[in-house]
Amino acid sequence: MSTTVATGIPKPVTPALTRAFAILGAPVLSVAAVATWAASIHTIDPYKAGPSGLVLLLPALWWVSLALAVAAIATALRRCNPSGVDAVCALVSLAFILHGTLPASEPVPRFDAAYSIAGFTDLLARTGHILPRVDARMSWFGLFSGAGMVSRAMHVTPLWFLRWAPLTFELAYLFPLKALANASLKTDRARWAALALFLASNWIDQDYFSPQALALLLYLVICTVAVRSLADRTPPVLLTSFTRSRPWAKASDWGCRLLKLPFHPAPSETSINELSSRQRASAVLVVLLLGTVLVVVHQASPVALTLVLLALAVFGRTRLRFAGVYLGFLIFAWLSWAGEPYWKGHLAKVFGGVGNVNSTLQSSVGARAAASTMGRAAVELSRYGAALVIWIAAIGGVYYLWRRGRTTWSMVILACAPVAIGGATSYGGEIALRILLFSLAPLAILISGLVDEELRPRRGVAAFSAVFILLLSLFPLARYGNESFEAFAPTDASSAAWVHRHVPLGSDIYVFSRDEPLPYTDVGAYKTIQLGALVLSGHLQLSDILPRTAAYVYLTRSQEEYGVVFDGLPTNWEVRFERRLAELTFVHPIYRNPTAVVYAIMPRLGQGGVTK
Amino acid sequence: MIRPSARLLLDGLADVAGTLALACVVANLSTATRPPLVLAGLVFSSGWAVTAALPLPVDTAFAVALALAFGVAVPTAVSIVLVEGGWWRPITAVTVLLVAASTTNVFHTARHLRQMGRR
Repeated sequence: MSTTVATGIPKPVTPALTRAFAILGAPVLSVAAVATWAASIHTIDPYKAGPSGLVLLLPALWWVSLALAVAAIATALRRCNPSGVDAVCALVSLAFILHGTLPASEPVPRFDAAYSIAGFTDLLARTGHILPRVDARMSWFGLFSGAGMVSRAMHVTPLWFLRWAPLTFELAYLFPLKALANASLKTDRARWAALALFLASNWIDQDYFSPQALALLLYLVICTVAVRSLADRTPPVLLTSFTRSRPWAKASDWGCRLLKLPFHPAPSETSINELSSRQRASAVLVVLLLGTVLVVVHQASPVALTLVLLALAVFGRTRLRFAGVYLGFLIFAWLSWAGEPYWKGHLAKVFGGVGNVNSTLQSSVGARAAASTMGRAAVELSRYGAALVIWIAAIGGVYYLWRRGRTTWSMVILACAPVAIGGATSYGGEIALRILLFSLAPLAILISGLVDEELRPRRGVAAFSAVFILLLSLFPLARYGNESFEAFAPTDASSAAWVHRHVPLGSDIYVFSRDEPLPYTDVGAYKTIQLGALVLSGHLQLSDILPRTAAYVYLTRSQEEYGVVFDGLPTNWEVRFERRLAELTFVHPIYRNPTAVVYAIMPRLGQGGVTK
Repeated sequence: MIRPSARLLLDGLADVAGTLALACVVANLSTATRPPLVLAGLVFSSGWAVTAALPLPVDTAFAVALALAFGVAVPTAVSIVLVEGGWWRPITAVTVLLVAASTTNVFHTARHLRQMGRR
């Protein structure tokens, strides 16, 4: 159907429905996605999760909501210059579905580490004092004091922050990520796509109420200032003389021919704004101020930032030549002064693995690889798979853009420099996760290079879509895979409250593992001793293991699941352990609810017990 | 770069958020809305008070990112000083922060309105 206008050329009349879809399609799909997701939440029972976590319990409606959110994103990004409203609606719906499912389906906050952080925050809120000799993490008390101060003004306990912290932090990360993408990618479509990819790939579960979650926000903003406001394209003299040398020229010539890459690609980053001296000074001040706060918030994040800033300076991508040195000095100063309780007890841990990137990463990866069941193995493999997909896709994105004559070296440096943190600290089994966390934002931007062309690049869009769908498929397994033991039932939480009301301060409390919600208050009030595999001992051995002085045994559903899923104990280990406890005359149950039990150990004559 | 209308919108949000948060704290209101209002008001109000004063060329996303970063960094820094100084008065400190942030934001709003009027 068409109409003829004054020029005589027939003008096609777009049907009203198509026009309406073009304007409202993405927002309508986003609202439908969130509504469907909300309807699916009440059917999810996280306390029935098995070794593979929540994925087998997700109803069909949840997957429909995810499909609607993906459709919203595809609709929003079909144009090279998507509407900001469309993109925001689609991204918010995706964020709610991926990162809001756990807070929405679990009435009580999850994850034992979050309760420990709440406990530190509670101590600061009530007293304004830290106790680093009780827990050395309190030497980096920035989050605890800040949140403690604010919680007093809010008239809440720090537990209030726990439940929706992950979704809040994920939404907050999108702003510096968008700012980075705006400076690195040419088209609006690619810039928004980077945000969607970040949401789909952040299964890492470090966005709970924690110092590292807050630190990541500061880290991303500082990186944005470094590569955007203080961007530089002048490589240092040493680097220039190296790249002009004959061996390098031969190697790069050979490499470019082999990979069919152009010899002199243009930088993909937006052209550098020439700042006035006042603007440059304020940008430097921003980095120094935020970096100073970062040093008191978290141990590892400032180290990663220092490495990144040094790498950016070495490769001439930022005008911040000495910020890395300043931060390094601050880290050392804080560790020496306020971190004394930490390094006194953990000297080998802090410096033991220095220079040993390979073994630190291997121990980090290897420890996580041990899986006791098929479901657990599936969860671990999904995490490896997702990490592999992200890195390979990022390499593909770099190659794709380079073939088209553009490079994004600042993002490559931001993605790769944090790997060195594996050799700079001995952070234990978490280091591989932390490296991926710091690298995730620039990796998402590099992958979005696949769609960073004005004319819709078919191959690039197909590759990006495949990566996005693959990451979304792995996300529920990777992210929700620990729910059988990381979720706390309401009765687990109420048992912890009962313990704090009735068990005398200073008591010894025996637990199977620290996967329990006790530490949310009264930090240092109890000495918690882990029994571990000793729960499999016979009752005669238990009689020797358990102390002769008054103490308590505290068991919860979360600990039982942890033993089964993570430590490979038999499924009925807790029932059998309780039967053996019942055979001991000096052990009596004093509290029980459907998911938790507290036993009192009566004093006996003689010595004996279990040390932590 | 950030459009004048977007900047004015952020000014307005900071003014409103800061004022509501301050009212909740000063009046010691006990409502379910107090916690999110005080948190959002403190973070955005104090963050925007610093960000709007920076002479950096920024777009909307960068401006909000800076506001969020300063919104958590400023209260954190204040709390660190209180702990190290042994003068733990959290509600007084938050009240002073909100007053300072709200006042600064009113000046920013007036300045930006004048700039828009001149255009």
